[in-house]
Amino acid sequence: MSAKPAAALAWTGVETGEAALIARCSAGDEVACSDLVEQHQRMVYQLALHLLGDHNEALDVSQEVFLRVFRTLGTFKGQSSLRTWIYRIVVNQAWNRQRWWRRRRQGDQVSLDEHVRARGERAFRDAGPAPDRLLDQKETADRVWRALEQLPFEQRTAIVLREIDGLSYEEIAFSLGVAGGTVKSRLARAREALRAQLVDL
Amino acid sequence: MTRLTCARLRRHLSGFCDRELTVQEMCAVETHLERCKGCAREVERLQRLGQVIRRAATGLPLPLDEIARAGQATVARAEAEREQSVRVRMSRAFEDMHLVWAALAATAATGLCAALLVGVGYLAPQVRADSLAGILAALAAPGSNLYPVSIDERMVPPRVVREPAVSALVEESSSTDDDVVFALAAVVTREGLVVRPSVLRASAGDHETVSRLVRAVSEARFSPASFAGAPVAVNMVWVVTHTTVRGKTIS
Ligand SMILES: [Zn+2]
Repeated sequence: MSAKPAAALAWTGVETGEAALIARCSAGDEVACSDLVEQHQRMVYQLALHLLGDHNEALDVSQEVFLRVFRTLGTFKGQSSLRTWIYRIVVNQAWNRQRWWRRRRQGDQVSLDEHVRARGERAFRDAGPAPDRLLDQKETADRVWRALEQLPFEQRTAIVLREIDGLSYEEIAFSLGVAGGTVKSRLARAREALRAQLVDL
Repeated sequence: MTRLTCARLRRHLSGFCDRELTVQEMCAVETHLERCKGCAREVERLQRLGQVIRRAATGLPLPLDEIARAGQATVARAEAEREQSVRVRMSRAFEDMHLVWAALAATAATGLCAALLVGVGYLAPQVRADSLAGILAALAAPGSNLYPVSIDERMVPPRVVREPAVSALVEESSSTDDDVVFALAAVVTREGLVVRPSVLRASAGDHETVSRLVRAVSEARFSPASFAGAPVAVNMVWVVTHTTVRGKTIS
């Protein structure tokens, strides 16, 4: 695990344009707030969807995330990039959600399966594979999501942030509020569990 | 870290795939992988797992319209919350003063309705905020007595500690039946003093009354507005309405 000096983190990734946007937004400039939302709404929704596995939950969480961003932007000191800071808020909000969500899910299997069935067939078609491979790919994807869902939340979050969002260990550690070493071991355990579930893929 | 056994090495493969090991560890793993087919296959499997997860993610629908609508709704809601919070704090802060003036009005058999409004840039330095001069002025020391700022929701607004002595004015004005409206702008300094008062509007009343009102307001004392615990100078506007009460309570 490469150890980067903590001081090097300060204000890295916060570009001048971004700093100006943050300043305007925390002063209550509505246009700036709109811009900030537009720049990040897609990644916020997608991360929430990957963590919670439900479209409506993901939309709700997105709204909560941005309200929280606006309320706390004054405390953002550039300790990470704005993006990573928002990731952290998404993870926290998703964590709050999934505690009761999981319980509710037990008897109510509305999930990614259904979401995909309702609106997602096109997404797979647009991806381009031949029709006979379409079903294979969809089945594979379903199995991957089921396997991810069975992971403990912290492991699932680590693997999603790493494999889908491409975050570094340092950024994942910040998003989860844990040490870098913890990220390393969580990812190793998550992969081990996933490999066992998806051994034939 | 040479000659790692497979078992010891496997614990590092996940970090190796993410290129998050130290240079030394990366080299040791690479050297081992050149000789060990089993571990090399394990690395391939881990990389394949990453691909499978990413592909599952790209297959998910992305309802951009819905996401955009939710985003707009959030901005609108945040804006409403912000406005609400400013209004609540302002009215709470000036309740005291309002009561004092209401009491005075009662004794004079007239109603004196006093309201304090947020100084929406009324007294800001006479330069455009986005001009170079405006930016330099703001950078110099926003919130200093020279560069007062507008009150916003992140600040604790000023609180009156000595109300303006307006009783004489009330009595004097009560002789007329006309509604009188004064609007005064001023800066409440970091020390809580009222400085640079200027009359924005005086719908009635002679010159003498107006200047006495200005003097009276100037004598008010505040605990200053503060931002993150530090006192800041702010722009304020007083609107003083003097109306004859006809059996009606002014609230
Ligand atoms: Zn080996």
